[in-house]
Amino acid sequence: MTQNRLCNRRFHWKPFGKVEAVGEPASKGSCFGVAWTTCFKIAAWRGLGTYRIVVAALLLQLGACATTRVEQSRQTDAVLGDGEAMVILGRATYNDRETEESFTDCLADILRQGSNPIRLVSEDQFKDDLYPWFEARTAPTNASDLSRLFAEAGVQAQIDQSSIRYLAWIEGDTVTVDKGGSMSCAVSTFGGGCFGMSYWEQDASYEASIWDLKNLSASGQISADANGTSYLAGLVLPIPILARPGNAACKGLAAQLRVFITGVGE
Amino acid sequence: MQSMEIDRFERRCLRWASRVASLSVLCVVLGSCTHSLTVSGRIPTPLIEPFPVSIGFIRPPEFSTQIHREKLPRGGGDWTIELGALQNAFFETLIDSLFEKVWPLAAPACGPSTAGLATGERCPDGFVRLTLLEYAFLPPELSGLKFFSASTKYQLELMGSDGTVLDTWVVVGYGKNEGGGFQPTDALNAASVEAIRDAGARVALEWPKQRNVQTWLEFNWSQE
Repeated sequence: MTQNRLCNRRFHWKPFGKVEAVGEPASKGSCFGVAWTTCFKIAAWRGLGTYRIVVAALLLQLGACATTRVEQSRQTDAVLGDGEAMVILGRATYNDRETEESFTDCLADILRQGSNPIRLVSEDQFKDDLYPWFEARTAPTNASDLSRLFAEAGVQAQIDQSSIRYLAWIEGDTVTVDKGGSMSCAVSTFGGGCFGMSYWEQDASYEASIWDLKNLSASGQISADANGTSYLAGLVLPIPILARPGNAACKGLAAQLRVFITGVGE
Repeated sequence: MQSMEIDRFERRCLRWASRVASLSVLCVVLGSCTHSLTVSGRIPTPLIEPFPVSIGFIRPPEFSTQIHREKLPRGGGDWTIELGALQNAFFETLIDSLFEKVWPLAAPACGPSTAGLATGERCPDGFVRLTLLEYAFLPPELSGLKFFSASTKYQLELMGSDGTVLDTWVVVGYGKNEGGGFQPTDALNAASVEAIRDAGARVALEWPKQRNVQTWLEFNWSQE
């Protein structure tokens, strides 16, 4: 089991890459191009006064974090061989909760990159190639169904042709477990602004079930749970301080999945 | 005197400009309540072994041009959804994969003058008529859920080589997609495609297992 505390890096985005490319000092006149922490420091040191420094320091303390807990159980020691691929599928259900497409996309993006990339077959390609066997209604629900499925004409040949060794079923979602506070915004002829504070706590819980398509068996499970509280502070301008537990769970699960599948980390 | 006329002219221009601006805003607001969508998506070739049977595939003429029009309550807007082209191509591919020989026909008939049947070709072992009975969808605003859902209801009518109805089977396909607030048509498109695929999967895997269909298949299989 591993436990991580991932703090949001949203404020480190550099939306105007062009500004940097022409060599203009990124901190000049705005916060774009530099970290917000740096920006606050600059604002403070440029003579906003000691009172404002305290406010800025307090704001920095509010940086939202998400705590992730990753657990793994393994049934086999097999790892991905040369030229072998993996496919990540979001488990579809007919109730109102379902694994978000953005989550499986996030996992795929991380696993495709890095110094130890994994060859992935896209979910759409896989479902099309094996239609109608992996639709929401027809997909096997556990690894013991694989032998029955592989007995169907063409299925084994299609899997062999794509060199798919592992299939990872992703189940879970992100839900808001608590929210509160209030914020109101107003606009008048003299200007406008937002005042107040609101927060919401989210819980992201996902599980990857890994199936070995060569041995037609279950290889293991990895679960990732993350939670965090996000804030929206209205200090004239609305300031979002986001925790993004879904993103934290994705990173945690992807890192563990890479170790599970390849035997080595990034 | 001249400056007064200029003032009056400027005021008139300003009035007209404000009218044009208001009208544009009104058009944008009204336009945003009308949604038009042509359902499009990938058409997979089913990975199934075809039955060694020949069949005449009949679809009503409107099957390939089907348009669903609906005005949703509570400000849901007017929707025009063209799903004919995709469902037609989809089921054409599906039925082609399901049977060894398929003839697209207009009616359950066989003779030298039957359109779609080549001269000298033997009559099909049976006919299947596919009809869309119903298409329905629900946006998140009405369902209270966070996704668009769509359903398709098809009827498959199996007829013997003499045109006698042997079996009638109704299948419902369901699809859903996370409703993107700014791209409702994309979400509905994905949900509709999923509903057609779901119905197609059931046709491929469940329809041949229906008792009357199975009997017909086994009978013709043994004749081959």
